[in-house]
Amino acid sequence: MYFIWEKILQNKAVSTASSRPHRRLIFLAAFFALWCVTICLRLFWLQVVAYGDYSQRAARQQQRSIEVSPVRGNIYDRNGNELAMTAQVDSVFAVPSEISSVPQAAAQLARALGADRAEIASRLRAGHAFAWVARKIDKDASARVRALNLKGIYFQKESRRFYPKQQLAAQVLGYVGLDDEGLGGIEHSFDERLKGQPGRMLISMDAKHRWFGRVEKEPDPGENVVLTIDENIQHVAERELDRAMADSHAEAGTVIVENPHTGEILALANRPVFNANSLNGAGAKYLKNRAVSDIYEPGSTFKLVTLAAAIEEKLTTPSEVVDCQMGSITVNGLLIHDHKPYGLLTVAQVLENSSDVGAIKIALRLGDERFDHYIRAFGFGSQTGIELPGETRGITRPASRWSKVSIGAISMGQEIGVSAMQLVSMATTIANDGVYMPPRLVAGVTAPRSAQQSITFHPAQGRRVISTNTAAQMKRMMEGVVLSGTGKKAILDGYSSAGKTGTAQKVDSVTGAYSHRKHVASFAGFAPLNDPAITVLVILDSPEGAQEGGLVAAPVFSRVAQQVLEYLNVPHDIELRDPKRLTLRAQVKTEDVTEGAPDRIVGEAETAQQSAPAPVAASETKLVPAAYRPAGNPAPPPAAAAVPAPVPVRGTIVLDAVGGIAVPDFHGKSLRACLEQAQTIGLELEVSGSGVAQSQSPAAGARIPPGGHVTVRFGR
Amino acid sequence: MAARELNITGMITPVRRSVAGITPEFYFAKAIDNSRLVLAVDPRSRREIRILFSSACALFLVLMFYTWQHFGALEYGYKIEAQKSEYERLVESNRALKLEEAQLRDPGRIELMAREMGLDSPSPGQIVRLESDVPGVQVVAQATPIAVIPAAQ
Repeated sequence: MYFIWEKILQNKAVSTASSRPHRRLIFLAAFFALWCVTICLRLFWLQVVAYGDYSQRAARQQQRSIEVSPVRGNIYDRNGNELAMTAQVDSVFAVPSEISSVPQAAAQLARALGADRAEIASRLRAGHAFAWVARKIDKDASARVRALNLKGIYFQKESRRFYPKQQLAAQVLGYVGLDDEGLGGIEHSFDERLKGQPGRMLISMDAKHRWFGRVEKEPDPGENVVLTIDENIQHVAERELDRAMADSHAEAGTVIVENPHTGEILALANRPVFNANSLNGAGAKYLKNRAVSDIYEPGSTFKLVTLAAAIEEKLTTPSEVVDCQMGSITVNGLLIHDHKPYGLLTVAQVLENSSDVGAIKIALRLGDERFDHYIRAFGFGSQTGIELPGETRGITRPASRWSKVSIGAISMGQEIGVSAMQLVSMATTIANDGVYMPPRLVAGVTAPRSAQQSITFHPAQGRRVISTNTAAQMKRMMEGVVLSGTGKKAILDGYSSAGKTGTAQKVDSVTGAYSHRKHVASFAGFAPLNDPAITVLVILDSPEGAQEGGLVAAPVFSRVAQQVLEYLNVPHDIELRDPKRLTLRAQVKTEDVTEGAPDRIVGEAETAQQSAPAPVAASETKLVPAAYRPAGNPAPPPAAAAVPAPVPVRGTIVLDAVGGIAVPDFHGKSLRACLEQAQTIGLELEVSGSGVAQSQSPAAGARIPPGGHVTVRFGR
Repeated sequence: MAARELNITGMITPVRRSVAGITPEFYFAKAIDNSRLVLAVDPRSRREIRILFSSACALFLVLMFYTWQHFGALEYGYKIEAQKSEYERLVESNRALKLEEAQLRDPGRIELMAREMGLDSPSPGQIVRLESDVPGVQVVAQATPIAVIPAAQ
């Protein structure tokens, strides 16, 4: 412009008469100047004045804010095996406005997903911009929907919870809802720590919705929970419980395996059970954890509390002779019969034979207050504090509200409601030399990305209930129950064992009275005797046919304890294949294991039953009365059992703990360093991955024969 | 008239054209030789043109550089996003593989397969432990065809 203007001025200086060419140039210049100014003004308007509005519009078009779901933490067993994990799966959604024919699309989708066509069609019609078609579907279903290549159908990744061990420890682990919120078990109890914190992502997209930038606040993944459960012990417990359920056709069952010294729950099995991978409308019957939420009258197993309290108070000794009055006793005007007319029995024999009269006489020495004190000291009437939801505290009335016959009823396990967890804790207290250890299911919580997934368990504070001396006497008497009493089926091969059987009547929900047909068979015991490694409780609800605890529950204890002790490498304290012990176990008759009073405590007992507070509403809890065996209705005798033949030893597995080479610790070393070290000491390495050593098998310190193989996994 | 105003010198070759009733016009072809004309160099103009040209080049270079950076950043944004997506895909793939491994290690599944192969749980006493003075040490088991029969039998 300037140069044109200069030229104009120059030309004007030399121009002659006519000024027309100058005027044209001026007009042209003015026109261009005006055009330029207009453009500049417009630019100023767009980029300065209207900057805010246009940048907001651009941001709305190009940017999206997305909440990023955190990855839910895993649940591990005590050895680091995954019991619950999260993985991404496809969810299908539709943009209904893009679908040309809703009925046709619904039909195709229904076929691919195996879902209801009408429901899919109604969902597609309900929304305009977005409609879920199916959420968290498996890979095969996702592939089928992709193959349809339907317009308006899109996929989105969502997290889904998987339980790789299927129904193992299902009630312990619990389950999650559609939005990954914990709804039962550990998933519910530790939901806050497992779920983590969501993050946010601000993404920039182009016109083709491709992402070209993002600013993210990373989500905080959930923490991992490590249980005290041992996957293999749990499997043994569940397998034997399944076998017992199949043999006895019981309605329900529970097996608990506990470490008596620390209170760690090694296995907690319930039947019936569900598979959390596909709930399919499983009801409360399957979902509830009977071990903590169901209450039942324990029956003869409660005699352990009666006798332990009396011995602790020095009111009796195991060798004291008690007159069982040929099987009947009058307590404050009420006649109570024993299941057999016993005469003189020692206190130990009272326990072995489960004499109700003997137990009542011992309890009468205690009195209401002292007896109630010991009941509560053993943990009854309060929650154990185990990390599971829905735990009941049972039904335990204070001594001030006992009737005149309560002491007699409670001494033989009636008029009191307990949970399986409370009962196993009672047995654990005796096994742990009189110290009550609160049962615990969670070893700890680890950081989200921590490689180490097994941690040291710190037991809760224990409290002394009975003296070591009393506990030792109780252990001896409980061993007598197994060797000479109603618990012969609990004899182990190569290990000593001790326990108490229980056969408790259930209340008939129709009549409100004790049922003659339905019982709860139980056995609580521990092994080995002198330094118990495990406490095991077995409960079978309403077995058919044989219903005595000694016949139905004790064998389950025997199988579970035998396998678990072998698995834990507990040294044998008894000679293996002792023919006397094996014969004792094999030749058990029904009359040997019968226990409980043949007659109910009429009147007072029924009044107490009806006045008991209602059971926990969330479960099908029923109060189950104490053992009952009508004198004229004995159970059919079991089939004669032959002495078991010695197991043929086809081969031997040898564990040479002295010889061999100790496996070094390869953790954190490079591949080359590992190979050199392995070569030096004469081991074969099998490697996978790249980077530094992350894990190895066998573990560091294990002994293997020279030339043995060690597998090392590398990673970054 | 035109010739007079323009003050033209040189050879003039008149060409007469006449149209009825109109004054004849004469066209003259004039050969003009400007070969001896020397244009004076205008340094100011040349300098101005140089400045203009340099400014235009500089502006062009700046614009090109800015455009290159802008689209380069967009391209890198796409690549970074692709890499992040690939990373997330691999992490998820790793998680899925761990899940699969956990499913394959299900004790129930392994027991079923073992029984189908004819294996059975060892009976009590079939595992012989040689005592070690280091408690708790792990030992890898070895199978031997030699049967160990306890002395009591």
